[in-house]
Amino acid sequence: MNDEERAYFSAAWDKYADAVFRLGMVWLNNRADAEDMTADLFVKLMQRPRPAFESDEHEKAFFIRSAINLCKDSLRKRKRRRAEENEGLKEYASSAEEIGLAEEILALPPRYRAVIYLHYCQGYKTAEVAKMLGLREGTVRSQLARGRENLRRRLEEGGVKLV
Amino acid sequence: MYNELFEKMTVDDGLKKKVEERIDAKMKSKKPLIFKAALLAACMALALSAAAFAAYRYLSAEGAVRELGDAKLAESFKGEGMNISAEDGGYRATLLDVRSGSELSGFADSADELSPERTYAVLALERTDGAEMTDADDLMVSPLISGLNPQYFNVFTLGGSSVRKTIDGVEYRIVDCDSIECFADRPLYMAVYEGMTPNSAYVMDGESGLISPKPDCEGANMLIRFALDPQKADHDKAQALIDRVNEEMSPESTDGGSLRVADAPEEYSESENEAAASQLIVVE
Repeated sequence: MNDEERAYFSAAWDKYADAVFRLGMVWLNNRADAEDMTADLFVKLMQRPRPAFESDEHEKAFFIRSAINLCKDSLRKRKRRRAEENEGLKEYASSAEEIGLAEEILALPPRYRAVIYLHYCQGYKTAEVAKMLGLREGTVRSQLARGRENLRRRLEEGGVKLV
Repeated sequence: MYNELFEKMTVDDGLKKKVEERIDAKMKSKKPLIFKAALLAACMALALSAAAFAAYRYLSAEGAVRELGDAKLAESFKGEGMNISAEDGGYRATLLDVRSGSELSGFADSADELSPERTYAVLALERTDGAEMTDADDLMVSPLISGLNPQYFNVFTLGGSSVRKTIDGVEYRIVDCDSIECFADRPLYMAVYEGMTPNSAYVMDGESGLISPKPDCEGANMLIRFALDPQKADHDKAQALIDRVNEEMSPESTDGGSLRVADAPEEYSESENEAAASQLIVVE
């Protein structure tokens, strides 16, 4: 890379790598796969002419949507993982509460988990989440409502209060 | 609680360096990015030249619409125009501009009552041998939408119609149809071809949803790719339109189309200019 490309790569990595990685963890529930996906995304990014972004929000949405695409590809190619699936998110949990939360999130299908991550952690509105995941906004709202209710009920059954 | 859990998830410190090295290795084995950028810049310059030529050669979209007798619609077409051309089979087609909305036209018909939101495309069609366009030059014009089978989603199923007039040997045509603005976040096309239904002249890639002309098609089959403001995309309206068309088609047409929004964001998010540059023609 020349100096300009290296500077762009470094800035983009510092800005978005963690968010991309977290989406990978939510979707793939495996650290190695999430890191591979993150690496692949940035390698692909730097191999093409730089996209023209209208704003920081547009740029962020590009990274998230690209990450979702690569996560789907990764799942399709995956041949193993059943035994390892539950070792991804849970390795970051350090309390009984967080372990319970991780388990409940993992009980959801990948796209459903991504809805929760994008809405509650990245702060995207339901319309934005719907657009990124190719869902109708009504579907996203009902998934959030059902997901949160399920999480609340199951955690409370386990003695954990959902904040 | 969600945030606390997720904020602990960060990439390994060493990964950035590994990715950087990987990119460097790939770049050494391919054309450098700067060369690609220069090539893209050259393509853009040529595309702009073609657009500038089109702007000089033809009536503006506004002017063409006025000539075709719809002064109210002409008001919507003020501005620079798209001016994107394609050439095949002895013809050149130039998409002058596209507008969408309701009550834009001074000539409402039954289609407006059923689907008040409409898209209007203005084109200039001409023969490359310089002869005047006549009734015998019967080109079909249809919008096509990436991800939706051209056989089922075209000017016929989208309630389309057209008016035309030849001025100084060039045929100016307004094509209107149910609004496709709701699909503004995916590649859109204007197909200009000889024949009836577009599936005789165009094919959709099942993986990417991108549409291309069939190479072995007899007669002209031009495909102009254009972009609308992606902010105008509306997935609910798009799905409603897909559902309507699928319902109107035969029960066997289960492959009529699916909303493939999130499946190709890398394609959709690239520069609109790169998309226009891919539709270059040689303008004499």
